[in-house]
Amino acid sequence: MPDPELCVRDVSISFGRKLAADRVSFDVRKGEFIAVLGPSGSGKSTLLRMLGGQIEPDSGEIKLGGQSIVGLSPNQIDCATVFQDYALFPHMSVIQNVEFGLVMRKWGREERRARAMEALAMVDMEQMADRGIEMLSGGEKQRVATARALAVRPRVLLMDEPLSALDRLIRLRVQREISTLLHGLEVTTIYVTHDQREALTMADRVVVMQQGRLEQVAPPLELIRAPRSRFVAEFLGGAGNYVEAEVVAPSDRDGLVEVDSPLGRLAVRSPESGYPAGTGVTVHVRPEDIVLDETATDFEVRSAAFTGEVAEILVDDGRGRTLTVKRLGICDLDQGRRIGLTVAPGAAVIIPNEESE
Amino acid sequence: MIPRQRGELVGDRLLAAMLALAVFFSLAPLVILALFSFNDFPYYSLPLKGITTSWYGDLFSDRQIARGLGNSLQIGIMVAIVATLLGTSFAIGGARLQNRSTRALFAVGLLPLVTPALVLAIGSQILFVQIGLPLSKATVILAQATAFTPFVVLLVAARLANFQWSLVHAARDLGAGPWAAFRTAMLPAIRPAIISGFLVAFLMSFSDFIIGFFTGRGFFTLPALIYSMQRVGISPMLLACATVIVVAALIGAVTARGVLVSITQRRRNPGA
Repeated sequence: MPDPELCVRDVSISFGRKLAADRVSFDVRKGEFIAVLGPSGSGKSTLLRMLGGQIEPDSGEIKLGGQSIVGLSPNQIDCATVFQDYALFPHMSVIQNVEFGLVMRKWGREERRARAMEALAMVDMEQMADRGIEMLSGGEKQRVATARALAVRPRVLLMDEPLSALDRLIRLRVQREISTLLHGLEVTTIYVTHDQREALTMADRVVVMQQGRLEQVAPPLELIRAPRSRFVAEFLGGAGNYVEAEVVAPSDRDGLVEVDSPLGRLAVRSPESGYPAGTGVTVHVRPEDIVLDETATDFEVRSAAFTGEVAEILVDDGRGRTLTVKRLGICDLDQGRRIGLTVAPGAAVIIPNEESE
Repeated sequence: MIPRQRGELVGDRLLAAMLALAVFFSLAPLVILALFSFNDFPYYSLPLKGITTSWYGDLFSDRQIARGLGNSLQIGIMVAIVATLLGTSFAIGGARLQNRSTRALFAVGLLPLVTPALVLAIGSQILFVQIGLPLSKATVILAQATAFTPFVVLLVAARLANFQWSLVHAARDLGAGPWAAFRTAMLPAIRPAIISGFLVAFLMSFSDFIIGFFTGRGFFTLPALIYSMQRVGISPMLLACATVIVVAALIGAVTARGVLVSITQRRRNPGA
């Protein structure tokens, strides 16, 4: 296996008493698109600033292309950042902004003009080259910021919540454009975001962070199918169902664990093996994985609401436990109606117990 | 324009009257001054006896006045340079301060703002004498720079208060060293404040009498010279001198405004 393009090892940093990064380690392959996902204050932006050289980690090692970058200043590190507020120079035109990195690298006038126009063409902004920055819309500024970072052909492109300042409708469009562009160019990208939808749709792998700790690094599908912690499951899945269950049979032919739960006997997936019978575990059941069975009567419908694309139905098991079920389309179940719930084998998953670590 | 509304706090007429009074009181002395500087009579009483430019002739041929003006300009420019460099650095450093104790230190640096000039002047003189620094133009520059730097600090700090620091980070990120990042990312944003600071420091030095009086020896600045001359009666030549200064200041202010406006417009419209 070739050396990783970017290698983060046991990186820690604290601000006063707050630990913003706690022994964070992960590798990034050349050309990979990595999303760093976490709520605000999870340390994801701090991580990005350490990669760009704006701040230095207290301990740990960061290697870019095999070379340590710890202690180097930003201008010595071959990364380029797209800032959250774009940080475009207001006294320069669009093309002057995009040329900036090349001017600093002492490129000749003709070459840098050509490279800057090339970068502007990538984001479809060539015709705006001579505009002033203040005359651009938010989406246009975003594109210029991306072009400016790409113009220096950095080893790694760092993006700090680049879409958070945009309106929702524009955001979805720009998100698709960036994703297509960067995957096409095969630029190694670290993309910081708090929006799980952005992370899941754009990234090859997602780094999930919470309170400075790295919760899980996995491809999007794996994050959803096998979250390593309740935090990951909740942050990615929104309102899921977390039910206490007891292991009945450790592992069957398909590698599924059989458990007794409020939803009855279930065959569930497990990221870890070796739960002996009788162990108490938490099982995560996604609302869309629960199927309504109108012939049974174990549960009672408490409410059914249509939220636009799906119906969200709250169901009560008569012992104070409420489960959320989601179903595509309109649902006409009346309140108080008795109903049954089933879960397909392998749809639910055991969340590893954090206390056991 | 804000549309006029009924029931505003103060009536428009009252506001207009107050404005007129303010303009009258600030302009009246200057008008009187200018008027008598053309009076063909060495004493001050209306009506004017006749119109003459002879006082201006005296003024421009007076070697002492010329030397005083030279000293004032020389000191003023030096003070403005020193205060601008110090004040700008101080403001940038202060804008980055986070914790309480360093912020307190920053406030101490602004102390000359609230200290009476006389106290500063005497204090500086005692200090210079104690450390064996002979009183000269250099000591005047030193003392005045200390006194007027805080004005530059305030002007630049106000401008920095809404400065987008990510611009500096972006410049560094794209390969600029610290100095290049300052020059390309920060300087364009604070340049108007630096220019205003330079002008304010110059004008304060130019009109200073007290600090120069206490911390300099062996030469006259223009204000010191005028002060010594008026002890034997205010000659209309001094009024001519004052009028010239006012007109020069007026021209200076208008030019400075033009420069500042053109800088801000260039910022807005880089392509043009």
